[in-house]
Amino acid sequence: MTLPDPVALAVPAFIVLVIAEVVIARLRNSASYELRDTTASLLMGLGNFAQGLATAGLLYLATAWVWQFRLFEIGYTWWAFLAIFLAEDLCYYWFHRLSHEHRIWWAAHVNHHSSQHYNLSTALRQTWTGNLALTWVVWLPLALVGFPPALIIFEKGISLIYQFWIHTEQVRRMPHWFEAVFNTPSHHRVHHATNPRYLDRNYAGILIIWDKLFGTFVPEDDAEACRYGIVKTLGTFNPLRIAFHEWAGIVHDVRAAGDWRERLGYVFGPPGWKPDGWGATSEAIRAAWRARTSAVGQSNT
Amino acid sequence: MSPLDLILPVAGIALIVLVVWLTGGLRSATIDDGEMIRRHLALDHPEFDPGDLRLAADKRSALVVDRGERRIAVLFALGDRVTIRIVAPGDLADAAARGGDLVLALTDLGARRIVLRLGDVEAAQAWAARLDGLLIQGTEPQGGRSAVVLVS
Repeated sequence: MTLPDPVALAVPAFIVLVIAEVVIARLRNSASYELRDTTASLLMGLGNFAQGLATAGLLYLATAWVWQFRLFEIGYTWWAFLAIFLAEDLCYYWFHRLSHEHRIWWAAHVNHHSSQHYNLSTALRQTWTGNLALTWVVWLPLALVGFPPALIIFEKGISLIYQFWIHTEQVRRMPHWFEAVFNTPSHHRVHHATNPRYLDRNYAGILIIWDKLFGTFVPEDDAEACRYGIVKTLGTFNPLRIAFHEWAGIVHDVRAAGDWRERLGYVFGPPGWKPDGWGATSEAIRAAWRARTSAVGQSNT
Repeated sequence: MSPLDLILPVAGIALIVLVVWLTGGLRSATIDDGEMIRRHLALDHPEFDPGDLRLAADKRSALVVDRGERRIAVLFALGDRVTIRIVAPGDLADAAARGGDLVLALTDLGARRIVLRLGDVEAAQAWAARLDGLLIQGTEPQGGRSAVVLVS
């Protein structure tokens, strides 16, 4: 069975929807788009497209190699499409969570979070180094189970297309039942926010149920507006720096490290990790925020 | 893969950039006053205790000294948003006065060079000297950890 490339088919829709959002944001007087930020995001998207072309063959070969050892014979039946939808989304959740929890994968993912804006162009601010960082290994178990490689790649495309539309501030909330089951603009705004209460939460791709299941879900609080970006906000629109700054940071830290414990910590520890334990990791930032809010609460009582 | 698969994304980017520009997308943030600086710091770096500060003449950047630790905050406009860098000892490769500008070279690849247009030669020189204690391999200034605050 030959499946289409859903992302290639969706490109015209991406362009039309971004332009529509620019116009809507302008009509609503919202400072949603800034020229240099948008250009940087789009160039990141173009670079991601190029690296995808360059590495697609390798990924397919790796997946096909694992598929030789498949445990079950899964073809292109109707239930296979349903099963891959759930299984791929679960893989995405773990890929995404690991990409925030370990610096070596964060280095590949950080560029997606590097904009202080949140709009449809941010969705296209994609990685240049994810495939080189081997983040695709998370999906290999699907081939081992028996899903055909083409079906896995097709579903990854569907997931990417779904996640495009949730990068917007123009939609406040979807119907309650939808918010309960699916990832939405509201849930994903939380994911892109640096507010301590929101930091490193809502990793979902399509279904928000995984975050609820694994304890990483935080709803958007209308009383606390999301502040977008990364903890150490970038001071550049240069796509090369956006793509490689964290990799350069890893190299710098590893070269300066005193021993192997430090080197491993800088590469595989959480972003912000420092050997003395005083690094600004997400957990440390959240703990400091909890301590502050609790102190304020006590002084008010 | 057809040529259209390559042409479409490139043409799409050009079109989007044009539309953003035509709808007034080229904007620059300004830093109005000390109150705004303190508000930004309270949100993004609540542990920073803002003391002495200097706002650039073009209102696009500012320096703030922490009253507690030996470090400064550099605020600067990036497009229509304000970005903050906390600069502690070892984060600064160079601080030099160039006329009325203060030019900071950071070790951080995400914000390598920040130019603060102070519009005042003496102030630029004074701040460059003041930041000496934060330089890489800089000698520990007399007065220890609070030297940046004390030297003015």
